[in-house]
Amino acid sequence: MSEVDLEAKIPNNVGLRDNKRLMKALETWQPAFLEWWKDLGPSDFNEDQIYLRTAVGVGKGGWAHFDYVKMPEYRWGIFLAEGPEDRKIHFGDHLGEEAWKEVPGEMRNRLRRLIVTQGDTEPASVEQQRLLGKTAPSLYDLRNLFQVNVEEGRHLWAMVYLLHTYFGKDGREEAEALLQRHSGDEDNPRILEAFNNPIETWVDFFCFTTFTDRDGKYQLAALAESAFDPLARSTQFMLTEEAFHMQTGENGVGRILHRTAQLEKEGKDAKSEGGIPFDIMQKYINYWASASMDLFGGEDSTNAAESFSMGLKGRYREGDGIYSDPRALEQNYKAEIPTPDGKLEEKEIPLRRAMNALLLDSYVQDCKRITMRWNRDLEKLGTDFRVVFPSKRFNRKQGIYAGHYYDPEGTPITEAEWNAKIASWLPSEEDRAYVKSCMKPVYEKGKIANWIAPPPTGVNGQPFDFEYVKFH
Amino acid sequence: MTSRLVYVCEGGDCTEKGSVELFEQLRNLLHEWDPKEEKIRVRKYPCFGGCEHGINITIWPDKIFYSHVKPEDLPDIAAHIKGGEPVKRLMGVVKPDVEEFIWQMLDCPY
Amino acid sequence: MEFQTNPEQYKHWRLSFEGPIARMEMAVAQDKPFGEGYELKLNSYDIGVDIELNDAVQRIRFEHPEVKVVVVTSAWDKVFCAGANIRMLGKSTHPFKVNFCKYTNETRLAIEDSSRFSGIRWIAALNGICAGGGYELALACDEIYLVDDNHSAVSLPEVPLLGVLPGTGGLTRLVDKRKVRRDLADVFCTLPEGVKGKRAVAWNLIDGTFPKSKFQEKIHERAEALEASLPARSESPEGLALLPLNAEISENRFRYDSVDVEIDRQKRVATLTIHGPKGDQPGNGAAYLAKGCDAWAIAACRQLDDALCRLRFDELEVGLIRLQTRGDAEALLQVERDLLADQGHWLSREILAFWARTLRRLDLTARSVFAVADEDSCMAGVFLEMALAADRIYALDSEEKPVRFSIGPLSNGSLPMSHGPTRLQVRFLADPIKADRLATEQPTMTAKEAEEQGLTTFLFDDIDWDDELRIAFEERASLSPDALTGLEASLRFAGPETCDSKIFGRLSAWQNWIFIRPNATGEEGALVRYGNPEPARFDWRRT
Repeated sequence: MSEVDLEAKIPNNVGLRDNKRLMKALETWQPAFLEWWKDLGPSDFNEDQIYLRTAVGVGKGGWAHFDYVKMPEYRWGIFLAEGPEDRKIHFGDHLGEEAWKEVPGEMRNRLRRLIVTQGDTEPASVEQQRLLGKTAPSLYDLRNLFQVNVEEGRHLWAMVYLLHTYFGKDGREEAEALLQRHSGDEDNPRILEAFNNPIETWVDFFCFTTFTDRDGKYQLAALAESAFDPLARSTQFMLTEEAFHMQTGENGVGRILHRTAQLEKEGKDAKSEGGIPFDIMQKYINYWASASMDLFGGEDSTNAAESFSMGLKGRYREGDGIYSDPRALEQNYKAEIPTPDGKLEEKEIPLRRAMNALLLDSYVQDCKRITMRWNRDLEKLGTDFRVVFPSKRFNRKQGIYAGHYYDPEGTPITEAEWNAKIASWLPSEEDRAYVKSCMKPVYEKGKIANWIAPPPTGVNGQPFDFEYVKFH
Repeated sequence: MTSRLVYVCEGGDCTEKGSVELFEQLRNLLHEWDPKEEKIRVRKYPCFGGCEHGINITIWPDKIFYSHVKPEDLPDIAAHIKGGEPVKRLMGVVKPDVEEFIWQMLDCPY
Repeated sequence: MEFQTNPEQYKHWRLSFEGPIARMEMAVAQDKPFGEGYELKLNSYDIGVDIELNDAVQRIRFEHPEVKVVVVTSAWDKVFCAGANIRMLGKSTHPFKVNFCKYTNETRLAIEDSSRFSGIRWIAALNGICAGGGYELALACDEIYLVDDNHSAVSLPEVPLLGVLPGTGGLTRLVDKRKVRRDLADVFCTLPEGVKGKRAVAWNLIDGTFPKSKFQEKIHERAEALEASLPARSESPEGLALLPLNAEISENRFRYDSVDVEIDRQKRVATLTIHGPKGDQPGNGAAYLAKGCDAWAIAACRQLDDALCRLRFDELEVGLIRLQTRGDAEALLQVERDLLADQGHWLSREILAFWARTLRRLDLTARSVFAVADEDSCMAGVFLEMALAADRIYALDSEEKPVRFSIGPLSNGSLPMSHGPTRLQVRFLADPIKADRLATEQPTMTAKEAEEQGLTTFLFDDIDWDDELRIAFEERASLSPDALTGLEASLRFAGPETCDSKIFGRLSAWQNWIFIRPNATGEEGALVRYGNPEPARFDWRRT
């Protein structure tokens, strides 16, 4: 593809036209991306017209331009949020210094690792979700899935932009490698384990977008505080889109619960009507919530401390000034740490080393807000069931609680107790088989599968029975 | 730099109801009074969880939670921020646990 | 610091010539120390004394081709040399101590180098007590004679008296050069009063003793006999005068005709640019003699040597040297070919040996060195050899103005590293055939070909060039200076060891460690407490 075509095809506010290096790198990478999309992006729907939102600018309205488009012709763009020219670093050891417009040499490797790890999750989730279109419960949901997919693709572009522009030859190699690793590939898997299992059902998809994408949101939010200005501005813009993905998940789970409550209210048994019983939903939530919490990294981490002190990752909303000590030197974080005999003991961790734990706390708080929202709806529908967000100790494979047993409330239990109760806490094979059996596509305009309620409103002011996907 | 904050919700529901425009209007209203954000900063917040009562606006550390905010309410809100009385009619709409959520988030012990 | 001097300015040495025999009398002026707060008693030395010694060695080689034997002795009665001044060491910062030791080591190696390559023999005529660094100086000479006066002894008392090592090569030269039996060396090094007379001869610490009354006479006899056994270095006594260097030294720059060092203090990077020969150059030793020290091959090497010394001593915070080369590759290679073809001439030999020595000074400089082969660079011959001495070589892959790499004739053994092999052999330790092929074929190649041959570390096109370089330099500058010193010293000298390289790689490394340990330099350390009424107190734990 020529330079002229590239410039026209790629909406951007990063001066692509004048950025010879980026242009040259994209000449090779962009075709490779399209190949990847065709091979590993959503299966079977590349010829269909999807009612999608495309970001064509960062200003008001610019990021939400709606139209029908074939996915491979989607205009993946490169955007940085607008920000002050003279931004100062607002936390860590470099507090008060000018934010960096270029990568400081001594931080190149660490920054590259952060960006590559973040970037790797974006195409990974597209790969994980590639078969979901075949069992979409409605055209509305099918469209939302693809919206999530193309935007994860754009987030990959955002990270690749940083790699191409600021990390030279290594950066280009890393950008290529982002397309070469594949979710679940035995020899060349995605970096984070949670991104190597396929998302097989829509219940998983909605839970994933609620909980796992939310981890992404918090990681992005921490990077959005970064002293490296291009990273901060790039991730700030990604956060706008990420909010939509979580909304998709949040509403999706809410609509399933809503439907189950409706069935219950009508005196029907959810399972015999092809709905998803509350207890199965709770198990899926337990599973995805705990797996997502594992993505935050160790609660006591020198690595996290270094990223903070160097100014690479801030705390959630650090820039809003809600923390009393922007250097985070004077305080300790109180953590409940398991003792060898299985009890919990309060220990103080120097705050900088507890940055992952702190970010996880913000995440948990946010997740509790969502559960609250679901429960309000259940309350309105007159159901007794309430969703409970599991304790951050429950079912952890990473961090200080890994290797210990806790119930969903976080109370320490024995291995025997765990084994006895696991089937009531986490989805069993049987549960998974049942949920899978419910997944039948509904491609008819205005229709919806029986296990999920329609959304209260459609996309972009359109009704639910709008033709969100026009099959070819 | 002040740490007094006005957050305008930019969750899905609030955005549908025009929170982005509202955010800009409020920021412009306060800009003349406090051009350098020395007294208060106006920011967007991802979602407070009071979606059915949007558009929601919070003021911290005052712990004021305004709901159902419409453009015509902005002058009163601005007056409050500048030192006047809180706008009672917009308060106490969401459930206390929704309010509590955001204060817990912001009253970070660190 | 000023490293330039000449015999008229010497404060501490008396240099005299009698035909083929030169005499160097150590006459250290007690009241003229280089620094403040100490006196140079008993012919003890500091850096100022050693700068003169180094200058004298250099001048004997270049200015006095008639000299075949040098007698090193003392002008004072009963004292040859008491070694490095302890008060000076006690007052010095760690970096200064390390640089001081390195410089004095290099000076002693230059004495040995002149014996090996210039056919000059050195006689240490110890006419009085000879302790520590004094005996190390003697060890650098080919022969050692001690006055037999029932009083004078040779000793290395550093361990028992000061809690440090005889670090100017003493330990290594004892067992590696003089092959003193290791257990006897152990005894000798822990005897503060040293060893004298027959025992010293029996242990091979010295080559002989002469009674006091006949000492000067016997030394002279020995010098004459030795001289007579050696071939003449030159047919004519005419030497090449080493005139003062033309240098402009300002705060952030030292600038000479062919070498330019610019310092970026904020980035802690010094850019060292070396320029190749311009205009006609002498075609052989005789022509060099006629032309004088302004000839490029001599001047550039002196300038580089001076610049490296200044960087080492005066610019401690410069962590990284960016090495740039400029000039016409063919002109440079022609200079090298001419010198190599005329090795029969003493001056050609001296010029080549001087380059070899100066490049070793670069190898031994404890700063990161990144060579930058940009589009204006001259990556040929000795300049390419300098790049090979660097820790990394960054090359530009430019289509408009391709960078060329030319291996020159000197890379085939004329510029050995301190541990013996050539830089190509060290670089391709895993592939000696390739090292040999490159050294003998001496190809000219593009940067890309050089990359394929493994001569460059990184090859970047012009789009990436500036940024990759900036990042590489910033990244390097951020790493621990101590760890880098250890890293570079460990990686630069792959392959076998020699006595020379052991001095730096083993003895100095240990010494530098001991220098920072509380047992030497803590408040109650031996080096600090030396001469005070309270004894040193040690932390007895061994590592």
